[in-house]
Amino acid sequence: MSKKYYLDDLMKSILSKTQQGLEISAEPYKSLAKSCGIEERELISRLKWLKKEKLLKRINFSFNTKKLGLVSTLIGCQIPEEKIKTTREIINNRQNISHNYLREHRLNMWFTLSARSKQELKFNLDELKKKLKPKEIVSLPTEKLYKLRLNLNVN
Amino acid sequence: MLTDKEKKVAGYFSKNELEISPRPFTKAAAALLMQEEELIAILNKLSQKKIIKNLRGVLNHKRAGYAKNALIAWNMDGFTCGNKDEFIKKTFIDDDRISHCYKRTPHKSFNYDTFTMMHAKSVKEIRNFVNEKGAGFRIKPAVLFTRKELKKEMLSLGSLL
Repeated sequence: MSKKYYLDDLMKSILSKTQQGLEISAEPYKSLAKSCGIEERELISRLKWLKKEKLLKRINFSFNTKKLGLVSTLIGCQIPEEKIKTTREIINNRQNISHNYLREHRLNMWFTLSARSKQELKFNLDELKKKLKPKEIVSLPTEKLYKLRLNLNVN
Repeated sequence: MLTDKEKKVAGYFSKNELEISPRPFTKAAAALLMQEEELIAILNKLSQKKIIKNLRGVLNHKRAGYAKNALIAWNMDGFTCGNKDEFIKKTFIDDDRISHCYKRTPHKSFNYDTFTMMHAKSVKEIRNFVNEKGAGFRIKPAVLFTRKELKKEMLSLGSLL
């Protein structure tokens, strides 16, 4: 299923440097190219290939949600197999839910819910409970972010 | 805290990735009805205010050979072997296989207070990690292997700002 890739050193260096970060400027790929020792044109064509082959998911800004005043919680619930499809639709339609996973556990569905305040979070959770009617549900509010960074060794 | 323009910019880039093109901000600026220069100034301001954490590439961990991942829940409260902060730093923060680490309020039927996501090449690698690192805990860590990703997106800020 998953293809094997043999990336040359330049590809690896591009992936690694892109993962480390780009500067915020009108032409961010120009300076990235320079640090990889290649022309911008070549960098762009290689990045497009990496994206097409799905080795690079995307390049994006990430935001500090805490600084934006947002609160969040991780929710685990027990959803019977036959209800997974409909539950998934309900959950995936919500903009305030960014991640949703099936996991191997009694609590088999896990997702994150964000809101502007604790009250709003509780309101949304209560509403979801009514709608999903899970056999069991646990909410684990975020107290502190220790780490959020996926750094993959590309070698 | 944020100006209306900053909200618009944050809302836009929480939903849209950066284009791969020589001038990746021109289209965004047009969509936001501003000049490219102004947009970049706002983004830099958000970055200075630490509201923007970074602009970076996200690799596909499955394609990079990290086929297995698991949510591991720890009860740090019951950690008996030394300094908790040191353990968290050494075991979670310094290990590149751990992508997320959060402190959470435990629940009575899921009594764990620290949550990590681990990416590895095999189930065995994750099991070994938990067996080794989980030795000093009164409550055994819970390992929840990922069965399927149903949704994984950037959190869309538009409706939350």
